[in-house]
Amino acid sequence: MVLLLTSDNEMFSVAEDVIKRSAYIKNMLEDVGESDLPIPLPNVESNVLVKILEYCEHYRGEPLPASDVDPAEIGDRSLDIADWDQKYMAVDQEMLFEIILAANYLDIKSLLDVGCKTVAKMMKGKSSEEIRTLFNIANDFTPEEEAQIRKENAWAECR
Amino acid sequence: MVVTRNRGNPSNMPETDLGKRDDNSVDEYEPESSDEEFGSNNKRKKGKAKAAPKAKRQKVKADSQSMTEPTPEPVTPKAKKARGSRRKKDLSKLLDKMPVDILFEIFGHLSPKDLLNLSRTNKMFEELISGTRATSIWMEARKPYRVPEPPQFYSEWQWARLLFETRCEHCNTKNVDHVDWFIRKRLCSNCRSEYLTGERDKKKFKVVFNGYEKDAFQYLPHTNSRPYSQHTRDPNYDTRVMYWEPDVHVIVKEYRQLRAQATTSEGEEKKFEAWKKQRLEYVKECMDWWKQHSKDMYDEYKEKKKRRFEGIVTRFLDLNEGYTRADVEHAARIHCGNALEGTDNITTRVWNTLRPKFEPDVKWAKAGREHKESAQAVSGNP
Repeated sequence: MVLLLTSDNEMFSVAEDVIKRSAYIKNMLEDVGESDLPIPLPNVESNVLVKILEYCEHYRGEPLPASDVDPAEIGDRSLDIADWDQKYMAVDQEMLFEIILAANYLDIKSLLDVGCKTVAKMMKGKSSEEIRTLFNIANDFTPEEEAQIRKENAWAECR
Repeated sequence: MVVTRNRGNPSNMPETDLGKRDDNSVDEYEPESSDEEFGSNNKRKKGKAKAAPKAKRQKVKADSQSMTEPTPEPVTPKAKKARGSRRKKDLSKLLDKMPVDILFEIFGHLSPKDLLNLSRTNKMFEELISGTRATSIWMEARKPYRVPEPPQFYSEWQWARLLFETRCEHCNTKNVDHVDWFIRKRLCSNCRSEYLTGERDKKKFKVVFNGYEKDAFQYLPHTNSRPYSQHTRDPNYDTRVMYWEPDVHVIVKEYRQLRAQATTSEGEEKKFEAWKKQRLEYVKECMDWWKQHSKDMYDEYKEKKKRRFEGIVTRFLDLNEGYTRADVEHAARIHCGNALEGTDNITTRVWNTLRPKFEPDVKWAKAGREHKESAQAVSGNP
């Protein structure tokens, strides 16, 4: 069992083969060896860690991806997400982004990839205005700039 | 499963930036079906983007401050942006606080059109998506569309805008298919009729380019194509030389300025020479590019048309109404509308607009075939 300490001071006790999906923890365990001391995760809150562990638990026993192959590399453009992953990612935006950040921090590539795909899927096929609404992005272009974006000419920039 | 995070804050507890937005974000998240079609997303989702802004929200800062000093913070941001009908509200930092690496990973999953739309949401995204770091993202994104490499002088970003931004560059009309590859602009037919002018339009040319130096025009790319009109018809249209009016004004202004300065010092003169050289190179490149690419682009166009046709055939066969491939092929030969032009991705939406235009022809072809078959059956009988 591995002990994890979240940013809000909650202690989690997790089976080693579950949490090893996190390359960060896996490496740490390999470096430090057996220890009774909890691993502090100052970037992860307990409610996010619960979610992360749910993912690791689900994929428990499945082979870990080889560390040198990055499944999220640019070549992989399909937005297919496995059914379970889709359900797993059907959370509110804040949680979705927290999961992505935590997956990045804990170095769980497959989860990070699913998270990015989920966000990309939300953006897909939407107009600028719709994307702004969806992610609450403030439009910081002035009307002039906005007109410019469309009219700016390549030849005018090429000098 | 939806995880909400409603912290019990009944009264004036300071809300966090994040906790506050939950109500909005939960119902806005809708996993999309994947039958999105490139280029047609403008109209489609209007309905989904409602997300009614909640009545006045106070800014986060205001909340935390109100603990110490009870005076309500003046609503400053209101005056700042009159535009856009969207009042500046408690803006989300969700995407902003994402590390750039992750943002690029997300970009890597988007189509050129999506990237363009995203780049127009705010300055941060524009900077990221137009920057050199996004070059590889663009290269990957355009791959499925089999478009030519960006020409000289063009960045991936500029090139992508020409190729994938489907609005008229001048008036913003939607769904403009036509790109003039000589002047490298996507313009609607109205704007082309209005603003493409050449010396052969004697009167107009003299009026709009009154007093303009003839010499300056060689620094502008030109085209010979313009929508047909009775007033401007020209039997030798292929040898026409027409310029995009707004560009002429800009370039002539520049030309005059540099020329005037060139007399002042040797350095300025060199600058003028350099400008001329670069413009000429650019113009030549514009003119040559099409010669090199017209065949490839025509081949690609034919391929695309073929893919669209195959998609249409599949749809008709799936109807199970007795249509055969031969019927659709026959109908395609007699069809005189534009049902066979356009995207090669026959989504349900595309199909729904296409079908009423094309089905009568297919029906007609089917009826003809059936008639022939029955006639044969009759004559075949002893």
